[in-house]
Amino acid sequence: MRAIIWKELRENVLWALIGMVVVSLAMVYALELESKQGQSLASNRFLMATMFLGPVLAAAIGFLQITFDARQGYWALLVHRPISRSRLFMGKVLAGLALYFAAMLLPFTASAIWSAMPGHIAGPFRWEVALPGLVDILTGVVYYFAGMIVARRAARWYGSRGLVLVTAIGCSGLVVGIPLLIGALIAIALAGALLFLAARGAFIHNGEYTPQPAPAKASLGLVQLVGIMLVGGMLAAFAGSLAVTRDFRYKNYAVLRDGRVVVQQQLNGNLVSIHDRDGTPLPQFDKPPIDTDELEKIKAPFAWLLLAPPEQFTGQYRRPATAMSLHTYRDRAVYWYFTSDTGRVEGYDTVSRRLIGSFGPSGFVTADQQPTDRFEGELANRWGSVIDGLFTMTSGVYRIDSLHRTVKPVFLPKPGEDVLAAAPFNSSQERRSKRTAIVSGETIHVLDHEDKPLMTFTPEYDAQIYSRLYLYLLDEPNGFGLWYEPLWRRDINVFTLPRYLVTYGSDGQRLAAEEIPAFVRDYRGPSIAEGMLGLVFPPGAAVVAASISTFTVQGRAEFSRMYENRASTASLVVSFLLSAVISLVINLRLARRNAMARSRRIMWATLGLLLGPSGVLLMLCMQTWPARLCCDGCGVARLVSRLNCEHCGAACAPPAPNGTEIFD
Amino acid sequence: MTDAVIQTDKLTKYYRGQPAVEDLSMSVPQGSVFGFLGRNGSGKTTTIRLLLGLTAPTRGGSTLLGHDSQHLPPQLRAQIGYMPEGHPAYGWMKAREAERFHKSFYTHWNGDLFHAVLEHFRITPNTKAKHLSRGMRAGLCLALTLATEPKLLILDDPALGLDPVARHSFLESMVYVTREHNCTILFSSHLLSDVERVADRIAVLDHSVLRACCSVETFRQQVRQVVMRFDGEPPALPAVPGLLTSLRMGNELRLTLVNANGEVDQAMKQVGAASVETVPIGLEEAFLAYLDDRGERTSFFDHVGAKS
Repeated sequence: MRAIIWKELRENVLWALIGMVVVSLAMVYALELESKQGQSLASNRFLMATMFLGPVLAAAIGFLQITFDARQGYWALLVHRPISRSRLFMGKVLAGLALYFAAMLLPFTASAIWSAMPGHIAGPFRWEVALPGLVDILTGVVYYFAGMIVARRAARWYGSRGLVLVTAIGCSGLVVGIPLLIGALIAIALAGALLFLAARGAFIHNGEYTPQPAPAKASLGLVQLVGIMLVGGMLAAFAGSLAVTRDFRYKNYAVLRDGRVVVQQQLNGNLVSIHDRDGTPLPQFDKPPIDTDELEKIKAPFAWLLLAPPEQFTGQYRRPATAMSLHTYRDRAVYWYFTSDTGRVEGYDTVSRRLIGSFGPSGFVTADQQPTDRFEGELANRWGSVIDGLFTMTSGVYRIDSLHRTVKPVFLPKPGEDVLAAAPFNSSQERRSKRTAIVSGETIHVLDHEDKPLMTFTPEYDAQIYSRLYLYLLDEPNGFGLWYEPLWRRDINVFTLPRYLVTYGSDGQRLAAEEIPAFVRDYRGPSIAEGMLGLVFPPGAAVVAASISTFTVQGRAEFSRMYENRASTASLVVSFLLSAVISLVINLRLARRNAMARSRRIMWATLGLLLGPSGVLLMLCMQTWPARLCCDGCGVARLVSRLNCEHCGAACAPPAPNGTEIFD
Repeated sequence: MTDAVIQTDKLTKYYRGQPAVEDLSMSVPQGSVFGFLGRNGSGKTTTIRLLLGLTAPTRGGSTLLGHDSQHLPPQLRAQIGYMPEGHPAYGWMKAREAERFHKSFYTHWNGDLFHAVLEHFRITPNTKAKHLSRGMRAGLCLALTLATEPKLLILDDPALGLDPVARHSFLESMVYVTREHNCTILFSSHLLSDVERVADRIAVLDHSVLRACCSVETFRQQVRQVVMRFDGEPPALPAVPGLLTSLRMGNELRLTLVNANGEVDQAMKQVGAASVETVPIGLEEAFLAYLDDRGERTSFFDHVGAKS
């Protein structure tokens, strides 16, 4: 096998070198731009190089390795060596992947080392930022095998050959979409294993389907099916989208200064009406266009308090939480970051790109001084931890003035209690709006413009469900309105649960509570797009969709609501069934026409029933279709691949002699 | 005759609904030099690819050295030397690198033989394959194939594109190996003189169908040419069994026949020729007639004469 590895390395090193140069240039370009922003290997620009160029290079190497040897004489020369084709394949794979990883990892490692050196990135560098890029590079393995299959499979170029690449692209989408590293690695391992088996089967059997063993056929089938479904889904969604209205309607609630709850309606992003909950338009806004400035004057200022637990944002390998960017537009010369391992807010000069110093609870120290303390606990939430200099840790709320290098504690919770959120009110027009709202444990604290305690109250709500709070400043009564609504979670239905507005006096006394119903979407049966998807993937996909949906309360509610409209349900079911039955019949006829064994007929018929047109396409893509000739015995077209006619059992007639035969 | 080294049974291959090889049943005896003949597209290369398991048959099967062609184990492949059509050699490899590469797959390698063949073709070991002439490249391929000292040698159109000198060298090497190692050789070719020189048995494929499989001598005996002279314009021929070609040249009708017997002679007598003469025919001419399109034709010179 060493000889084949050597041959493959020697033959393909040029392509790998060209790929490495392109990848290096892309990485240098990305780092040049992103390093000024304090970003490095996890930046979007840099990940473009690993996410797009990596797969292209991997697929190209896999494709070229096969294509060069697939020239007729060369293929025969190679596979006739006295070595099993399985070992030949492994030799090719080892060499191809070695070249791919070398071409990707060398510039990547150089980029990482460069980024880690002080003075190159205007921000802290942690090795965890290399993870997304490394995972992308690993995803290239899937493309490598896809490239091999495209080159080797005996199928039409304009037909099913490219489908495996669609599957690989689907795998990339999954890898990017899965937040957990282990999930992404499992996706790569599964897709990689399937494509490996399919590529190996195609290589060993000269790209022909029929002689392949069952695991290789099954892998190829799965890979092809995913490709068909992705393409079919996209086409169906596109066809459906052509037929649906483009108008986007949206409505939401707003709380006015007088404590009233009104409904705002938007059409394609424009405010078109404002009315109370009974549907009566507000007098000053009864005719469009609506003066939004005027509207803002009557809306109550609010502080938005998102009680997202910190763990919701941890473990997402594509967003490494080693450093939280905190810089604001007020301080353009320095970028500020909270780093969890030092527990301090570090500042980096944007010109020299070096650490200038850091903040701790006791103040600022320059880079050459040794810090003596750290912010304990964790960032209260990753989205709203710094708003207007308000820095919120679970251990306390601080006001950081980066320009004057000062830190002032604003609020420290009681022992055993965590700060969950803190936010200033959103209006700076009025002095009384320069207040701060803090949620600590189960209590809400309001501080005045000098950060002195103004009011404290403990609302009664289920914090596990209602994690999105808005604290409104009300004129009538002169106090606060606490609006709470559910935050999206897998196990609750945010679309149907009601919202609440509880008003409090300025002394924290609870005055009133109001239940506000959720806007239930006006469901009018399945959309054309949904119907099209149903036609592409009847009932197998419907069953899968339903079973996934029933895992969640939300899904159940959504699904049951979908079927409240009986007429639409009936049409949906009829179209699903019709599509499935037609597909079953087509597959059955194709299987019978090609004289397949009973078990294979049943298999393809079942796939037709469950997968619909996708099942038919899968059969057409996978199977080989031998020519048919008229049988001399029964006169019916018979398959040329059988020694005996499948209809009458007559043996194939040998070619007619023409009187010139010479045999001894 | 001893045991068959190659055996095919109703071997058939279809490409996109068209037969490339149809119902091919033949056997190649051990120790023979077997010429595989046919025009372009007649199915020679496809048959060889089927024999070596490089493509799967549509139906039927074949065995090589007693093993199913579709599942030849590596040990058996080591005993089969194969030179694909077009003399493929990795252009970037030097001759000695090519030797090192190929040698690594085999347990038995005759380095002396390899270098002797290289020397015969005047190939220096440090020359890259892409810098070799066509004849030299063929020599390199032959050296790589022969150095394994195979029991069975399969050569797909080995003399294709070679000049007469290179072809001569090539055949010389081939004959040497056959005599020295009692090797069975199956080779396809268009060049009839080459076949005549080295083959003792032949098979002829015509439009994917095997029409002849016999010794060279039998072939030579079965094909004969008859010249019929008429007083005037030769009449239309009746259906003559085994008629390969007929050529009209003025008052003369030149027929090439195969398997001619009493029935054929009877048919010819009925035509009413002034004289009937059987003329000697060389193997090359016999092949050409056999492989040519069947039917009647007129001499090219008659066409010219008619126009002028």
